Amino acid sequence: MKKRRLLTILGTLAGGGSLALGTGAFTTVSADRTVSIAVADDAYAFLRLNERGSGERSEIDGGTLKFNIPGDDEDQYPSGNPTDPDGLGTDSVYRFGEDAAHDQSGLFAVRNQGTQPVEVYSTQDSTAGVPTVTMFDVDSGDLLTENSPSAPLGVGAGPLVCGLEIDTHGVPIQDEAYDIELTINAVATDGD
Amino acid sequence: MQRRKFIAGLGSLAAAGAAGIGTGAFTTVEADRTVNVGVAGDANAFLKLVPARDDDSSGAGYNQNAPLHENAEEYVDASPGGTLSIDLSQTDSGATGANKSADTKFANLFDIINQGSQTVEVYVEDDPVDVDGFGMFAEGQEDDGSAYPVDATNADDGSGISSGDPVTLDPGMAVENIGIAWDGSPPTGGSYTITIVADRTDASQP
Repeated sequence: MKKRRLLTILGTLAGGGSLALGTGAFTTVSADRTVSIAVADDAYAFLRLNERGSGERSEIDGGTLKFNIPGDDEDQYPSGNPTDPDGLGTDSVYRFGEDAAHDQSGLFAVRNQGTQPVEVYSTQDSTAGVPTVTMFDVDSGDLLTENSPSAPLGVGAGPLVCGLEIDTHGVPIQDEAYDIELTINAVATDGD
Repeated sequence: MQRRKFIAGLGSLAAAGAAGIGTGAFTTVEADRTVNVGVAGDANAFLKLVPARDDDSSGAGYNQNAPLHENAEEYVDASPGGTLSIDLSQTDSGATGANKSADTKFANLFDIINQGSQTVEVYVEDDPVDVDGFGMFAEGQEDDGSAYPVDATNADDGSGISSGDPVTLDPGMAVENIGIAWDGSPPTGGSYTITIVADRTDASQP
């Protein structure tokens, strides 16, 4: 069932005198109306997502945010004595709260450019055999999950500075990087 | 049969004497008659289309003096006396469009009210935008905004507003908080036409 309600003012008029009703018989109405849509890169969209830091653990790929861990320039950090790791250890939980350059907190930042406060959290469709990735609030350290999302992020407020927690328990070591789809959710707090 | 005989009679009269009778012959008549058609803005039309009102009162009637929903205020243009349109291309808070590769839902955009005198079925024509996963939905009775089919033709949860799952509106009734959603990638930027249809439910009604 759809939510339907009787127009209050019509009901009132009908009570006072039926003149207001009953004159408008129509058989069919077909009304064309316009919807205008624009598409923007993550840095300019309703849910604004920005890279943080200059250490190349993130990039903008075709307008959408993407993460590479280890980062593309990991072999340049720390400056003067680079470590160049090949990857995360297995059976471990890592937190990446900054880029390799450590020049700014967070791997990415979330801003709300919509109309209502939103709660932000991440989900991952499939975790079988691949690392489990969860975003966390760098300031509070809290994981942001469906059951425990961020505090409401107001329109134009923030940013919500985030890192990624990566759990490699049961994940086999391999040369090729795992390609994981992380979903960043922003849901209006009043639910409608 | 009766009519055919009458015509035959006229024919014989014409044969009897063209001079006295043939005054009724005509090639063309132009008879101007008046049809008064009032054309109103969407807010005052038979099928009333207005930005969605944020009316949380439960069970009470539709309150057209309630404040606008944030989404209706931002995304719906409804100049007085004009037609309603929806603009999902920017926001006051700085956005210039929808995220790519993101399921997106805009709830609470507009309300439809039947200001006619008969019960009608209201729906949005299927596939208004030729993109997989694009759909329009009406708020579910639960009032939590959560139940909606992304695909307008999928009415599993009963809150679609497609031709296969229209909303029945008695005179004076409103269907509230119609929204737009897409699943996956947004439609290519541009201008699209949605067609809102209201059909009388019983053709035998006067």
